[in-house]
Amino acid sequence: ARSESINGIYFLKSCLLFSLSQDTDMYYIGNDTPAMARTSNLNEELGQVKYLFSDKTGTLTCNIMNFKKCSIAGVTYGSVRMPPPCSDSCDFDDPRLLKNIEDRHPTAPCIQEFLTLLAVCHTVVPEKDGDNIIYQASSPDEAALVKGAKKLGFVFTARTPFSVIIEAVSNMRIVRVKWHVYCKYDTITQHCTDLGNLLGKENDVALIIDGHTLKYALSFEVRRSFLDLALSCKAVICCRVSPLQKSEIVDVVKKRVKAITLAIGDGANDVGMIQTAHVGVGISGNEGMQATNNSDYAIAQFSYLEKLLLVHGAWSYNRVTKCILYCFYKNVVLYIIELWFAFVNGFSGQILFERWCIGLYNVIFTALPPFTLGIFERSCTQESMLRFPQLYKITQNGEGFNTKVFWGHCINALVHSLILFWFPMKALEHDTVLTSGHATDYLFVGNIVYTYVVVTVCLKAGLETTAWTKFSHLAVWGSMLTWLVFFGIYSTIWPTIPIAPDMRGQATMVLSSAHFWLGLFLVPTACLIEDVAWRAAKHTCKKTLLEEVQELETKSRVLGKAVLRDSNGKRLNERDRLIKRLGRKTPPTLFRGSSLQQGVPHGYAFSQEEHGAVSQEEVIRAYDTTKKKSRKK
Amino acid sequence: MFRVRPLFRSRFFPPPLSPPHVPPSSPSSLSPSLWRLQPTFASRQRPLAEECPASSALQRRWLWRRRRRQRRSRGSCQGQPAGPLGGPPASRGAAPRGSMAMNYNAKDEVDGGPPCAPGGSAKTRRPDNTAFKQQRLPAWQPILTAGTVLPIFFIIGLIFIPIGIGIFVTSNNIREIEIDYTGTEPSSPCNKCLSPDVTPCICTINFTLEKSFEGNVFMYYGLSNFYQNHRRYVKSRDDSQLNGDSSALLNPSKECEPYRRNEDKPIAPCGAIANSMFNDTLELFLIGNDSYPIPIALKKKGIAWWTDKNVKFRNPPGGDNLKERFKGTTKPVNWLKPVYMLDSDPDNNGFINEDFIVWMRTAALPTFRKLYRLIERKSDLHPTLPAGRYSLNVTYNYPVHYFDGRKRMILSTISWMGGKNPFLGIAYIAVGSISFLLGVVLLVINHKYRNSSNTADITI
Repeated sequence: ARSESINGIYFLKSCLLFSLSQDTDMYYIGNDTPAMARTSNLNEELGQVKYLFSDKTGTLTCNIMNFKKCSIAGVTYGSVRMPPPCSDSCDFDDPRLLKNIEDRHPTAPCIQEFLTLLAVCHTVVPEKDGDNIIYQASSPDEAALVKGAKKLGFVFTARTPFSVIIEAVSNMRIVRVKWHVYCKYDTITQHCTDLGNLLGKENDVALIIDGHTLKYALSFEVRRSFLDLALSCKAVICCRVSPLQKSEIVDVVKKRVKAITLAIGDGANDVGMIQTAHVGVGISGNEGMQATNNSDYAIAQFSYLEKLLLVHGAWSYNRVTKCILYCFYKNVVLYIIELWFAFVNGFSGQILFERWCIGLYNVIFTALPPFTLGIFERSCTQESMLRFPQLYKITQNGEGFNTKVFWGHCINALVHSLILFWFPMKALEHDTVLTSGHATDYLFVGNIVYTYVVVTVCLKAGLETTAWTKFSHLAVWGSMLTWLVFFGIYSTIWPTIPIAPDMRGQATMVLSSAHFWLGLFLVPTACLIEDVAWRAAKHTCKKTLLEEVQELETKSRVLGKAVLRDSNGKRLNERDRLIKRLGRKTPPTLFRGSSLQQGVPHGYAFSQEEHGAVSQEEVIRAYDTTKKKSRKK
Repeated sequence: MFRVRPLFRSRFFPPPLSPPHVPPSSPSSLSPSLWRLQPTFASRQRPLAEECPASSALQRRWLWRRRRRQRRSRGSCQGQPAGPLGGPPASRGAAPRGSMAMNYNAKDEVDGGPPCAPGGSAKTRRPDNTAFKQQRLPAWQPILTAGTVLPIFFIIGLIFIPIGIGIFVTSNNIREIEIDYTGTEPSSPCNKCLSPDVTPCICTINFTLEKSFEGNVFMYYGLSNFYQNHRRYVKSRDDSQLNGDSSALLNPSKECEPYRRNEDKPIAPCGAIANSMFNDTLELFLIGNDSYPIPIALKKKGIAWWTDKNVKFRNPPGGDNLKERFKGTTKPVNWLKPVYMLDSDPDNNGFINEDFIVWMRTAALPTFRKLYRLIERKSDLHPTLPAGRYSLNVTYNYPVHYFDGRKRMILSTISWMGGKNPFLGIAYIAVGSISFLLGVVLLVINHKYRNSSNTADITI
């Protein structure tokens, strides 16, 4: 019976994966990619993710960088909200900044310095195209910063091996490349500001560390304190990290905290971390198949992660746990009855039920309720799950399945089995329950108890179900009916089919007994009344967030869907934002993940190269865009 | 490793080698890094079509592919909000962005190039938008709160308690008398029969019915501390043999061991159940005023289940003589007479003897009753068993004292719900009361917590 349950769980998980891949909300029409689950045993872990590791470039930003906000000498410019008309280059639109320069604000020199730095410190190569300047940047963030500076009047026009030329607001000056050192820091900070906005987290609680520093931070002596520091932050941003370091961070966190980690990335350089984390998510379609092929789940857009976790993860966790607990419950109920029976049969091992009835218990008579629980159960709607991300905490903290819950179910099952065995046993103890006066036998008792077990267990599944779909009805009522039909047929086949001689004639006798029908209402009621009362009392006394949301849903349905409309409104806003973001998306980097990359574990997320004979930076610095004539054909 | 190599600038773009050979959709089969720069660099920031005249057909094809990709993604971003959130697609292709897309559109239409709309390919991997697959099946979501379940509890209480009272009263109206005739007490008339030497041993027990028994009366024998539900006992039988199977008659199932064969002959009926069959004979007499006992007519047919008597138990095939049919078999070791001599009535002899059939249904508990005889109602005017003094004549064959068992004779009338058993009525009353009580508790809870809600957590 146990193995049947376990097979059932596997089947259930496959169903959940199927439903995940069938979600149109996670289907990206751009590259015709639905979400895809590539492993079958991680559904519930999706609901427990506590630490999320994301690749930034490409994954989080879709390779779109915009200069939106900056902070100069303590003054923040630019708005968080994206203005509706978005240009390709720069969203930054804050007249205060330029005004401050003109008005000789005390911070004016700082602003000028800042803008100068933005304009000069990078590896962008300018190209003159008539009056236009086109910036060729190796990474989109650099381009964004330079464009931002350009918009603010600090136009980067040309590059020579030893200098860069910018046109500042009023005067032209040449700045030497040695500024570069400062610039990097600015870039990172600026970049993190962007990222912070994207993450929706406060910047001041984010720890920012770059690859070089990380090398030391992860060294054995300071690793622990670094981790303590990192784990105390809401977000940690690691810049310019090698793939090896990425996976190392994941590994370190995974070992330090007993929590589920998730890594998401799109490129070959994320493969390590995707494989290291408990759950690896690959962005499919954008940058080759490396990440996707090594991931547990493949989604087409980073934004789908929200639904993957909050809806599918939480649902899967709920479903799998409910299904497991229920399977435990129903098996404990049935088999503990055999223990009670052992007390009256001299511990001889005699079973109360006919053997095929027991054999088909998990296979047929109570097979459907766990599946409907596991496949169609939803504690609340998708909209609510997305609107109230707090609901994710329930699954994150494993409140659905822990020692307490498990033993709670076992004790519940124990009490039920006591009632289910002893009530009929006492009612039938004189063997004279038939109107005809005939005496009964052990299997008569067994069949009655078995019927009560099936009914109780199915109703219990109904009690566990928060969303009764038509399949739930089919499972609950259909299972009971199936047993009765089977019982009727099974009691007539001997000796035509040479099995179950002791069942012969049982159905007629059982079904004609008044005790059976009276008990059919009494015993399941006696079992479940406590469950219902307990649940109702708990709900009323100490309402959980989930129950609150459920009530809200019911209310909204009653009140003409006012709430959901509201929620849809919100979703629409988000959709607008998303669409906007996608609208500015540069075509994805094609042709990544060649065989060349497969063999090399190193590389940088940030289009930077290390260990090269000539670094990319040096190459770019060698450019002299002022001499373009000579290079034209 | 270069992810993007800025060395190849747009003027070399597209590089002369790979474009035509490279299917854009399969990144695995590509020529390596040369190519990686193109999207970042040239694709959006410059009007590409002008710079690379589409002179060669190959080049053009390649360009088309690239653009299709671009347009696809753009289409999905701008005009196709369906992507992430499943809404209906809006006007696609409205205001394509950038000069390139414009160029492309114009040229494509002129050339009659291949269709390349985002959904243009007939087969898309888009999941079906059905309620089932999108997990939006309509569902009834009952919420269990004290307020909503309150009525259920009171209703259950109000229904169960009267039912329980009804059952209890019915059960109490059933007449039943139990006479223990084990004879372990020295004063008992059957005490003499405990010794195995006295055979046959007949003892008589007198008893008085205070009230008359109306309607059909059922006579049971009851045994205590007899584990008919012991595993090895329960399976020690051969249903094929009992069904009249000739081969099973002479070669009983191994389950019957050690009561399978005796003195090299197969036992019929084999097994421990049959071997231990109850073989006391009980007779009932009404002692009238003139001390002349009137025997009560005891019907011995109709005490077994109909299916047992007519389907499950069959005598082996053969001639009219039952003895012939059981030829080659021997009686169970504990039996006094063979199976074909259980009764003089050929319809109640052999395997279809009803006393035997009743015995073969093994009881659930170590204390059990089995139907022994029927006392049928004679007329509506006279009670079946009028109040008075009776005597029970026992032919004491069945020893139970050596395993501390008890033997009883039970006389009982029957109601629509069977024999006397107050348990079900009491259980109904108890469950009904508990339900009512829980209802009251929930009522209190409901009153106490009705207005305290922590809705502050979430806002609409």
